[in-house]
Amino acid sequence: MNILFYTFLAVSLLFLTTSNRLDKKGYYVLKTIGYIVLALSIIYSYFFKQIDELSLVFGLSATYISLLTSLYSREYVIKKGFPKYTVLLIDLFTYTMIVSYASPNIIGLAIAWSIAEIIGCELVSIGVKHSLEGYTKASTLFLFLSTFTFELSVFTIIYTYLYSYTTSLTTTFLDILNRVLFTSFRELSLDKLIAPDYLIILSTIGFIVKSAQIPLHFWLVSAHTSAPSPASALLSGITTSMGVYGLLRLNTIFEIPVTILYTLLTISIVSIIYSGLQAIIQRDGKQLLAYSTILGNGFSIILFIYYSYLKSIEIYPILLVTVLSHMGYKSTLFLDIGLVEEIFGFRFIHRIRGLNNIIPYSTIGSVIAILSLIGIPPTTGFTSKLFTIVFTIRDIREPIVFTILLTTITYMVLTIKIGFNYIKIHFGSLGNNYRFLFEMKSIEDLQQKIVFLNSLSNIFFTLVLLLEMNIYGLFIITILALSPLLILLLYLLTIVMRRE
Amino acid sequence: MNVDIYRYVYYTLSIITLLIANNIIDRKPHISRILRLIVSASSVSLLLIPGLGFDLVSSILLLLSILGSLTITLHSEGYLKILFGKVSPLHLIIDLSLLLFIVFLTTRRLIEFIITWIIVEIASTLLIMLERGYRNFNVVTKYLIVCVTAGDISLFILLAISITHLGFEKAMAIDLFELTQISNQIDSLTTFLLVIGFTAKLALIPLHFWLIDTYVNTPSPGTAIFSGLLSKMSVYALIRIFQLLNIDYAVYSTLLLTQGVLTTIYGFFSTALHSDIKKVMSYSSMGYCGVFAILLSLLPVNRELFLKILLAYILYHGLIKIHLFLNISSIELLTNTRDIYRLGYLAQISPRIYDYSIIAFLTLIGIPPTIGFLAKYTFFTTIFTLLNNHPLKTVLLLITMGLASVFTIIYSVKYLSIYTSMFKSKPMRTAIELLDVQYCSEYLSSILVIIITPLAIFLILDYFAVLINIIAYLIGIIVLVSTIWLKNRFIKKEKEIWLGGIEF
Repeated sequence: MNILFYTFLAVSLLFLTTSNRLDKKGYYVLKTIGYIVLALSIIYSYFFKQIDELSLVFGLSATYISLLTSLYSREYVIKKGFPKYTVLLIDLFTYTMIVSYASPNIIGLAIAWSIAEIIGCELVSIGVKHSLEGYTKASTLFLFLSTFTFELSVFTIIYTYLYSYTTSLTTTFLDILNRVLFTSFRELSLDKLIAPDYLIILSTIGFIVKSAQIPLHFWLVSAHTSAPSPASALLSGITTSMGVYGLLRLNTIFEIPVTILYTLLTISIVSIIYSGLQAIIQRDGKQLLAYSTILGNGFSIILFIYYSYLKSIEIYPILLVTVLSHMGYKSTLFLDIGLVEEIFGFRFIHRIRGLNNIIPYSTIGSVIAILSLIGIPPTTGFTSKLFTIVFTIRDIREPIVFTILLTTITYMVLTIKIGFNYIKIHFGSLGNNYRFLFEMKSIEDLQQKIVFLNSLSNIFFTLVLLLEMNIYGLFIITILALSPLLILLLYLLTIVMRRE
Repeated sequence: MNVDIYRYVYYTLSIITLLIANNIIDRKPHISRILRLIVSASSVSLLLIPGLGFDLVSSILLLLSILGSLTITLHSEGYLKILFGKVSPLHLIIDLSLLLFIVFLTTRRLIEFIITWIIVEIASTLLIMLERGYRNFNVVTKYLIVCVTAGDISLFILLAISITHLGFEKAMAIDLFELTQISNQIDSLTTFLLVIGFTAKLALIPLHFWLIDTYVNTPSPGTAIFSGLLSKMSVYALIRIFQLLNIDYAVYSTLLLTQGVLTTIYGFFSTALHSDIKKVMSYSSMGYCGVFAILLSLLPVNRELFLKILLAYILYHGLIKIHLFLNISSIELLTNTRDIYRLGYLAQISPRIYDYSIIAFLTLIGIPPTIGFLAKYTFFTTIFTLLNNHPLKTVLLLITMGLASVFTIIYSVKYLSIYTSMFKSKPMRTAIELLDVQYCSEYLSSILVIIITPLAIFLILDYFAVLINIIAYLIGIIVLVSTIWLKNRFIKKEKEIWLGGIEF
């Protein structure tokens, strides 16, 4: 059984790497097949009880976004003059990330993720060499903060197991190590560990840094602005989701003390307010998106605190939807700004208007993403915000929940402002004053269709609610029935906005 | 569940039909027109399905939306044709908004109610941008932040209430009418929050300022949808809150009465200040929103009676505002201006539109046989029934409504003066001839305000003041018909219509 699983993984890796040598058509076909095989291996291991729902959900959604980003990156790399191996790096990056999300045990997670971090660092450094904007020490910062703290946390988790098992059991050290590393998360979650606070703090810190919460946030903005846009989409969409994923895993392993939850709450409230205000005043489109990544992760962590504090099962699917919605809209928007870079050669959003006339599909896609950011049905963002508001109103008598409600409202206001700031680039018209400043380049039709396809994830990631089918059945039916209508309305919007 | 399938089949078929109709609208306008009319009219069939549970409120609103859809879809076709030379695909926005309003009215589940509400609002933002595109972006922003967000907060609170009291699992699948199962008293703060969001959507003071911008900047057929149909959404929601939930009536009533009186006075006063006829009518819409709020606040006093008067007002205001805004749209097309002082000659260049506008004038000031008489007469007489128990309230209402009536007459005269005031101004350019569909739409809407009256009398006022209304209606009909006959028979046609005996 395991042999088949590893064969699947190897085959997909083979497809992904060899496809880069082929011509255009072969590239697209082989790459699609590679990712489909990867997805099949995840589903296969889920049905044979190797991995749990959390890994399944994260693995599959990451695969969808990776597939589209990888298809997109070929043209981007050629147009922007990046070295050819960038595409290969991006594929390896996504592959290792998906494998680490889908890995059933700690050792798989640690190894795959460490490789992913190193490749990510390389991608950032390629970006630093090539882009005009951005911070020159971005890759160093990324390596030192993001990667090392992750290692620290994972090793602390492993150490905690060793620490608590050696006191209770009388077996050899190697046996315990073997057991800890290779036991699946399913079995590990059966009984919770009791560990000293400092170990829990050490194990959370890596995941806080991964979701770039204040005061350890600054690596994110520099890395995401410097990296090539497809890599930024992956870094922002998939990599930072590891923060909440890790915290959820920790929650099954430890009993997280209330004091740590309060600290986390403070950190994320400060992050939401700070990064929201920063994002509003940015001129560089990527910087705006990078700051709003911190914002979105802050909101996810707030929901995690809610879930972990009240231990209510109902909020769990909503938390997943929130993380996935962030994954969806952020990757879409980064791919969109990548198109902007290709067309104009820069990404200062206060100068750019009227993209609707050049890339209409991408406009529909990014409007869907912005609607998800703002929270309008039937997108995932709506689902997450609706139920957050509703549940917090229900449990408002708890002071912590009241704080969460207030933060959610602040978050909503900030996202509306950010969304409107960003979406302006697609509408209106480029004033004649600026037209002579640059020459516009044409782009591949396929690329903007990929952005559109990616944005569909903002709608159908709601399907994660199927985990709780009996409760959300009618809701999902309503959402899915209305989604073609939304796309129709957005198509009309692009036509209306062309009237200038 | 079977009933739900009927509904969804109807929605799907309607949307597909609309897509087809809008696709062929430029090549085969007649077939397209027939298809669109069928879509609008066929929603009556939902009334006939037994399990859907329509009560009087939804039936009246559905009737209004069907009649409104018929007139608006005909008119807007001509509007877009004249303005852009090509109707498709922009007309789809108008048709979709009309259909979505019907979908909103026919939803049964709470969760559907909330989601379709927001989808209708998205479609309405498209209506705002229909003609001017990106230039209306700021208007849209204001509309979204003030009106939509506030309304959504109330909707979310409604969902939160049902989850708190009924449990999460049940609240996700609950029927709107099953909300009566919540027997707990809802405290005053929650009632306040529940009501205040919908009052923002209804443009009551202090959250009223989005309305004028939105109405004036929307193309006129869109404004007809906004004023005639979409403004009834929050009235519908407030009626439902009152009927289904056990809210704090004191808060509900006081809040709505205060806001209603203030908005009525402010709205009708402001009609006197402006010379842009569309702005005047927008302020009048705001004033009527205040009247709705007053009527809603009176529901706890006498549930049956005031609900019926409210429904009469909804029907009256919806029909007349659709007619007026469509008429304003014709004026814009004919003369390229909306300024009263630059108009005044319109009866010369378009006598047919003039005839229809007289009916609108009669309806506005409330003269039989139009539905305006029915609404105003019954409201005024009912206020007096409150005199014994609530003397202060009665006086306040009489003053407010009296003021409203006076200002209504003033701006109605202003409106008519577009057609027949002094001939100081001359046309800026030769008038464009309107299309036949537009005349048809004007004709339809002016006929509707007359023939809907007996229906409204029997549907709404089954025990109150029926006889006097019927008598007034019959006399009104006789007078109207004989006037038209006399005019056609004896008054000779003049080359120029003139006023005050001064010929130019």
